[in-house]
Amino acid sequence: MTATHPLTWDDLRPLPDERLVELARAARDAGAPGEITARRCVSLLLVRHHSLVRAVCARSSPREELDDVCQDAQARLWLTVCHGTRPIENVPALLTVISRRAVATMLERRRLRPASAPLGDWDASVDDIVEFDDWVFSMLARLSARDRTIVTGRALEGRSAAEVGEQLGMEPNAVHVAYHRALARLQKELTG
Amino acid sequence: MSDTIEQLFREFAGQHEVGGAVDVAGYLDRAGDDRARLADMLEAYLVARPSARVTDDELDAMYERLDQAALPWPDLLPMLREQRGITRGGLVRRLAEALGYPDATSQVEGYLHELEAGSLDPRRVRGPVVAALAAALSVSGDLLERGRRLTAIDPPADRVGLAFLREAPAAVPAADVLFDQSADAERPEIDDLFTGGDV
Repeated sequence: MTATHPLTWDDLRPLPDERLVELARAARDAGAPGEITARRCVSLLLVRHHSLVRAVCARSSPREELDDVCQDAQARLWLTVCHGTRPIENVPALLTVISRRAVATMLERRRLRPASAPLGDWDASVDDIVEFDDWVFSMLARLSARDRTIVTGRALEGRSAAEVGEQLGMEPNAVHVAYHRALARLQKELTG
Repeated sequence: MSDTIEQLFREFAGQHEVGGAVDVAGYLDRAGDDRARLADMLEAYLVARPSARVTDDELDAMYERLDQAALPWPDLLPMLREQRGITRGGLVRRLAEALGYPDATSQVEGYLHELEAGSLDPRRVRGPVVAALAAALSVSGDLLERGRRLTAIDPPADRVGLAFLREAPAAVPAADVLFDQSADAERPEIDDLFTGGDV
């Protein structure tokens, strides 16, 4: 590779994985031509091991998530090669680990995703709900009148920052900031 | 009735040897209850047998895809820290200094924690914070910008409700002890830097 000519696919294709990693890392700080070479090296690694990534990701991913999970794994390899410093001696082993991590991340996101109708899934009695409502209002009572209006408007009534801001004579961004601070204060009290 | 995994494996290997894209997920689906066993076999096989024939079209397509490669911040920030060998505390110090508030590490740490935990929408973060993060992590601002556009915060509302129930105090304390004075000492400028951006 020279400073002005990135390596071509034909230059790179015969090289083993480890050499591609070395070239990518050597090229990453060499300016625009180096960046092209680095990206070509990683592209070749990913195409070469495409089926391995699909196999690892497909094991536990729902069909509708598979493409996204594979793209996530591809981005992770790109970042690991081009921003990491640790030696990479076995690319297939690294890709297996990276792909499993991408799957785990996707599964965790699905687990945390809120239900479309959370109260329908919440097995609580009417007394529980009333008690919970009382407690929510006792928490809101700890805020200043302005912050209470903001939190109530944004979180409970679903109004926009612009609408709440108009009511209070505040800019929408100021409402965002005040809203976040109020939530942080409540969280701090909760967690002691 | 599912095909036997031996048949499926032989069929897959034959197709893989020819080259081109093979529908790996389709093979796993056909394995039925033996899905995990076939996955083990395919992984072991593919670790040792990468695709021997790759076309320029496949390479060009992957090259273009990498141009847009991104990860959401809750994944990206810890990954970059790990790769750079920077602790969260180290990043907090660099960030606080770069933003011009070297003494406000506690407040900055709180926001960094929220960004890494996914509880603060990174689209709210203002440009100077993105630039300071990029400099501290030695990455391009574009990488962080792409990542934060990916992040759609889905607050786990059902879990928040349960946490509230679990941690609700038995009685509401008197008003004069409710407000943490240290919270008032926090800098509103930093709040604005981390939460004042437009979505």
